[in-house]
Amino acid sequence: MTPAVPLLELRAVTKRFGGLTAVKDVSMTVRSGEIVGLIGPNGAGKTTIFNVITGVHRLDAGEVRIEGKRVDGLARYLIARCGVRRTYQIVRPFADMSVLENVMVGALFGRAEGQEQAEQQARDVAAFMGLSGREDEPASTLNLSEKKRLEIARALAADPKLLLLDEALSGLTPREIDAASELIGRIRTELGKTIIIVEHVMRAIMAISDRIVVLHHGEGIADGTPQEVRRDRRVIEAYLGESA
Amino acid sequence: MRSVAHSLLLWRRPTPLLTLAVCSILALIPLSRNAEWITFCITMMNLIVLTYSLNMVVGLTGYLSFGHVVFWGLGAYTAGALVMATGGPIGYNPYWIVPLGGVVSLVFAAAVGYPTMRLRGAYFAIATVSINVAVQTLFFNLERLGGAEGLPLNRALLRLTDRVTPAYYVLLALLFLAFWTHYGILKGKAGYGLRAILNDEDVAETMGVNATGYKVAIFAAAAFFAGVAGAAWGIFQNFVDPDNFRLGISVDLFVIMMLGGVGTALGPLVGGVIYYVIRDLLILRFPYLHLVIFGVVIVIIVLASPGGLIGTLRKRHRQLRAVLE
Amino acid sequence: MDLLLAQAIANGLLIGAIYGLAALGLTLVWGIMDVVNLAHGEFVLFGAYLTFVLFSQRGSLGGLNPLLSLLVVVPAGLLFGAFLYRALLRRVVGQPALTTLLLTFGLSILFNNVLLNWFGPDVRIVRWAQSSLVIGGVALPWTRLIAFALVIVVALCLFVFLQRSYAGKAIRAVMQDAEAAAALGIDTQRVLTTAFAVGTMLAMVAGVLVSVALSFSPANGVQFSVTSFVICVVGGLGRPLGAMMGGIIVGLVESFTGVFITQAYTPAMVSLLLIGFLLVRPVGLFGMAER
Repeated sequence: MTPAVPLLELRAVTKRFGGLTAVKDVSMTVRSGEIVGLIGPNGAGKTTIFNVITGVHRLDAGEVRIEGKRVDGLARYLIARCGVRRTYQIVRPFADMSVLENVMVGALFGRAEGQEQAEQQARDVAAFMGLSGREDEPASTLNLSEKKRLEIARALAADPKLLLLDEALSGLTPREIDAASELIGRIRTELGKTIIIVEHVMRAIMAISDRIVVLHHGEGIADGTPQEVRRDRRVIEAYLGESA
Repeated sequence: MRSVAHSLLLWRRPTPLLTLAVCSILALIPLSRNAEWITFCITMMNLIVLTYSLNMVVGLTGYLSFGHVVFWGLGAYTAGALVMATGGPIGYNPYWIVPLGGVVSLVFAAAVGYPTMRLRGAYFAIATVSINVAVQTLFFNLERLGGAEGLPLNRALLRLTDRVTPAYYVLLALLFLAFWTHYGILKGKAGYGLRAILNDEDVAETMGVNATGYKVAIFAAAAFFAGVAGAAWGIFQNFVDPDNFRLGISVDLFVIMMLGGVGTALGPLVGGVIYYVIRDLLILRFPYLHLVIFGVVIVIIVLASPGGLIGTLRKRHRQLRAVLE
Repeated sequence: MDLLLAQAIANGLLIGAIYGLAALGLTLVWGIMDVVNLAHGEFVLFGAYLTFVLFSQRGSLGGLNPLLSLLVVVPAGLLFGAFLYRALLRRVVGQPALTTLLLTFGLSILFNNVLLNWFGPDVRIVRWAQSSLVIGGVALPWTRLIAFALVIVVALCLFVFLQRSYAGKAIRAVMQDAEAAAALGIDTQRVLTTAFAVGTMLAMVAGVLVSVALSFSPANGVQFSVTSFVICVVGGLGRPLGAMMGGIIVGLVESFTGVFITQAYTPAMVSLLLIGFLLVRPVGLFGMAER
């Protein structure tokens, strides 16, 4: 049963950087258990939205609410403790720590209780993400696909309610993309997570998402099912008008 | 509850046992009644405790606390001020005074740490030097607490025997406590959080780690140890003066810390013993040359073996890793 | 104007100029390679002691103008700086701050104690031009006036060097964007060597002026380092004009504290100045926001 209060709600969010308005009056809602895709041409403001949700940027206008509670303006670590975790476009593993230690950080500062539970959680998540064989390797020695999985594992280990994936598929081979897409689907079905995914790989994001939100020049221009969005005139113009 | 049990489990590891062994030996020294040995050990333990204090900040948070000696001095002057206060049991019982020295330093560190730890690298380092110098200047001009001449504590009841034994055992207890705290942090949740902060503070924050909170807490805890040591030292010497804020002491601490290995749990202990023994040998023959040598040592360590003694041993001999942490 | 105030201003300006010159070297090096040279104060001392050795000892060239030592100090500074860079600093440029700070920290201890060992802890001064020019009741020591003039000359030379010469322009280019400069064919290593050599030389020249206009001893090493650092923060990294302005400001702060409060509180006031800037405007007066 989905609760009445949406898991995440953005209301009229605006963020400016000096003279540039990166995000303008954007509103969106994400319900528990959904996979929402966030797309748009480069510079549309997608990563800014993620940064706004996680508290990296302060809003110039609007609100961000998690389960009805207002979180904009809170310190980053407090927002994280409301159950939000993210991955980064350019992977940022803790280079001096091993794979397991990376995931342990996620587990310890998530919902695990005590160090033994955290370690068990970390191992389980590492296994789920297919990293079991590499647990003691320094994170810096992993290849890109493994590092991307580590990013996700680290976020998952905290047992978050909401997972933000920022271009988790970029730089992967087609086969890796398919495997990753399947994994993301399982994160929702088996682990019950709500996911917002920013992506440029169209076929993948259209396939996984329940709903798609389209941004262009910082404004929301469409919000609907993949089929609806694919046929939306404004979306087509936004992409073709840019001559890809 | 669970973390206490976890703590006790740590006992079974080689590193704490090693430290316990060393501390047990040190505990027996006063029984020998050999004044030379006792003084030697007190001075050495003081340096080691201070190095643990510095090591906590530099090793665990990566911040260079160049002016760290200010916490030691504050502890010393707290002892001085309390002894000087007329009347009351506190002035007569060193065991009361000593923790208060730690508290004063802790509070000061928390107050100062919160704004300054927003600064990176060199800025923080020089800011701590500035603070140290400023505090020293303050006490230099504070006639009520002795001014430039210093403050003799000189209470009738604090005879030599009343001073030496408490100071010795306070410092010994501090040494073990400091080691234990550092070790516990390394192994526990805080250790993961701190390493995450060192690797990438922004990412750590978005993972729920309260970076500022951790950094300031470590800074304050480290200051506590330095403060208690300072108070103990003040009582031992029966005298405090602005020289307790001398920047040169920080130099010694950095040498010891780097020699032993920054961030390691055994580093300050091992580095402290080696340093103090060597210094005692050198200082007799070359009053200023020993510092030249230590300057060279620092340069060499930075360029050649940044891990210090413990770090290099751990790298070269994997089997020793469990023993030397 | 109140005579005391006028004297305080005069003192501050004259001494501040020398501080500014010392800081010029530091801000150049810091701005271009992001290395804070904690041994900077010792470089100043080197210049001072070199002058002392040449002109102050019995049997040396005493009697001649000590500023002639610049003929020795300038090339010595350039060579020493170049050598230090190539031998040691080159290896740590680009590494985390902890490493570079500890390295220069070690050098600072090494150099300071070499000086201490050689010359002892006594405070020295190079005796020369003992009289003062008195204008309207304000005493302006000749040594400091000439030092002031020299600072202006050196600062102008530096300006011309940075604006007109190839090496100077290359330095400014690398300071702004090292990668782009390299892509344009500029030999970054040579530029960094030059920058460090120039920085060292400037510090040592300031030392020459210190030797005649102020007094010095090895204990001043840390003090010069910290003062130069504060000036760099106040003026902005890599900003020569900022360093000069910062120098004047610090000079005035010290002078006013000395005259209107007590000399003993000077370090505390400079500390307050530093903390103030760090909290309110960390990039300094002329600095730009983070790269």
